[in-house]
Amino acid sequence: MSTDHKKPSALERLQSKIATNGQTQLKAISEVKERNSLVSAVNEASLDIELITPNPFQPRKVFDHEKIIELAEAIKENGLIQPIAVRAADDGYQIIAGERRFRACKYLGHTRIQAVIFDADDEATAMMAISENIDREDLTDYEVGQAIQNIAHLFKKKTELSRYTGKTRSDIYRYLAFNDLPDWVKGRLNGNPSLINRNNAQLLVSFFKEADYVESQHKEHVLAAFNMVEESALTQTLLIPKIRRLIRDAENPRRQSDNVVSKKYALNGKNVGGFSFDDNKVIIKLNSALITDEVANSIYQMVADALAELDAGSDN
Amino acid sequence: MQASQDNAYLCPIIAVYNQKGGVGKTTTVVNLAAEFGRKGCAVLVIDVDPQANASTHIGAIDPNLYEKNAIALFCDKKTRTDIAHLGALISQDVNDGFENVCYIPSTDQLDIVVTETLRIHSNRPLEELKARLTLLRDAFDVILIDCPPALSLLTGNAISAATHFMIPIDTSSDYSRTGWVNLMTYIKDKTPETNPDLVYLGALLTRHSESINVQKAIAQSFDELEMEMDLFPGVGKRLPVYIHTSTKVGEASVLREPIRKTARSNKVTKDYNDLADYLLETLSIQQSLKA
Ligand SMILES: Nc1ncnc2c1ncn2[C@@H]1O[C@H](COP(=O)(O)OP(=O)(O)OP(=O)(O)O)[C@@H](O)[C@H]1O
Ligand SMILES: [Mg+2]
Repeated sequence: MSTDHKKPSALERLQSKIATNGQTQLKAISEVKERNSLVSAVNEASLDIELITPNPFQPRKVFDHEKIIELAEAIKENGLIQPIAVRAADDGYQIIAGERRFRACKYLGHTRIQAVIFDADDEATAMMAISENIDREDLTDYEVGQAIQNIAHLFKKKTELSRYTGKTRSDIYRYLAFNDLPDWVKGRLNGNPSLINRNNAQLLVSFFKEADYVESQHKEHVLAAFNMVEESALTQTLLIPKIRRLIRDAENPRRQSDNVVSKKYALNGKNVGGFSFDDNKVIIKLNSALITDEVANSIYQMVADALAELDAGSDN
Repeated sequence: MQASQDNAYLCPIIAVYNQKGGVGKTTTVVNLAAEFGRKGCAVLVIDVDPQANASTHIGAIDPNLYEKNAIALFCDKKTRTDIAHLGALISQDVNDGFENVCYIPSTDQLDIVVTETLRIHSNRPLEELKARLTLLRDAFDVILIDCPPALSLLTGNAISAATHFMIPIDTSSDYSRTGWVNLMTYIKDKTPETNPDLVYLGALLTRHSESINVQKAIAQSFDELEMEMDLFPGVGKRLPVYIHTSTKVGEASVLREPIRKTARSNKVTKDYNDLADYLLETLSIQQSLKA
């Protein structure tokens, strides 16, 4: 009896732990494989660069030429670190991942390129290009939006799309809003994908749907605001307010004051506040420790009286 | 009143590095982490070795299964500024014996992904890790980085991010020494730009025996080398504590526990305890423990 219950020896304990460790690892690996099973690697080869075509699902619209040259220099120095990924297409190969490396090698005048040939279907190709690209820091919202649009139909629910892309659901809707923009806006975006961020894409889509938006009359103002963004004269967060302003100014011309007034209040030679006045607002800022309630109230009353007078005036 | 002073504590970040493989880097990180944790420190282990040995040893989950891992410490723009995103990378599922220890797991893809991404997309490819770890310095008492055995972009990042580094040296052969000279030259050349305040803690002799002539001789050669190269005005040269050899180290790795749990009265257990005490003292880590 007692031998049946003998304590495991040190060796037995180690043996059993090693066995468990091994099983845990194999299980994890097979889980990961399953997750990635859309794609199975076939082989690696050196391919004729002329036989290779870009991935139609490639979300990146603009390739920064300088960055490509930089990469080319690196490849020239160190060789191609990582083969590109392709799959067999009609009479050649289509890139799944590595379009920048491909462009860099072309730039260097290489005639062959090292590639891993995958046996991937369309869906997997789209996904690989996306997952290769979607988190790259320099990809614009518009490009990510296009990429998400390309694969959106593969998912039954937005939650699945959200999980796959690692974006929140509300972000997914913002990205997808790019697709609902009119063609003339998309045209601008194709030339300059960073013109509109995903927030503005969504805001613009709703703006265009507003009842008093009339494209034939208002389009020029939207374009003017785009130009200002491109000239860095307008930050993206103010895009929609600016468009509204431009439209209002055009329909309702008023005295334009470019003068920005900005003055300081001082007490005993020390700054205690300021007064500024531009096209948007008037700001009075004062350190409240220095101001009695009475003075504060009289400032309020003065402004309120001035507004009351305007109100009375507009009735006539 | 003392609370505001405690807030000012920025913990040391210790990189354990040697481009020679198998010298005891991971063993040191894992057991030091356990000792620090046992003494009440909040410890964070960053695994930047694609072999993921430290992750496997400390973590209760296979590193393959983590959705978030050290890749995001280098490539995800959000973790640069957003502490919430950064915090999401930290795992607390640790094996028994690692109290107070958290870690950020590695993955076998780490090297490929980081090298490819940073080379193209980063203006300061050697300082990505630093930008992230800086955000975590007031949240832990000590941060340990386990490095891969290579002079790669990953280790370059670890060396820029660290406030201190130590170099485990396996004295059983002469190979560590050649590596050490190259390495110190590299660090001396590189860090003045990226990390001028880096402090060299010293060489940590591992699997060392003072009673074996060759080991004793190699150990002494380090003292001379360090003097000759006059490298860093660090706290120490050769660390005052060295690590003995024990078969229990291997056993502990199988059992996925600190050596203290496998063999409480083992020499190596005591060595890592002493090393932790020495570092607590030298780096004033204990100050934060008084709170
Ligand atoms: N003090 C020691 N006594 C006996 N064996 C040890 C000791 N320290 C480490 N080892 C053994 O040496 C081997 C290498 O150790 P470890 O993995 O810690 O080295 P490393 O430097 O992290 O390796 P790598 O460069 O591959 O990351 C392991 O098998 C470990 O168990
Ligand atoms: Mg290691």
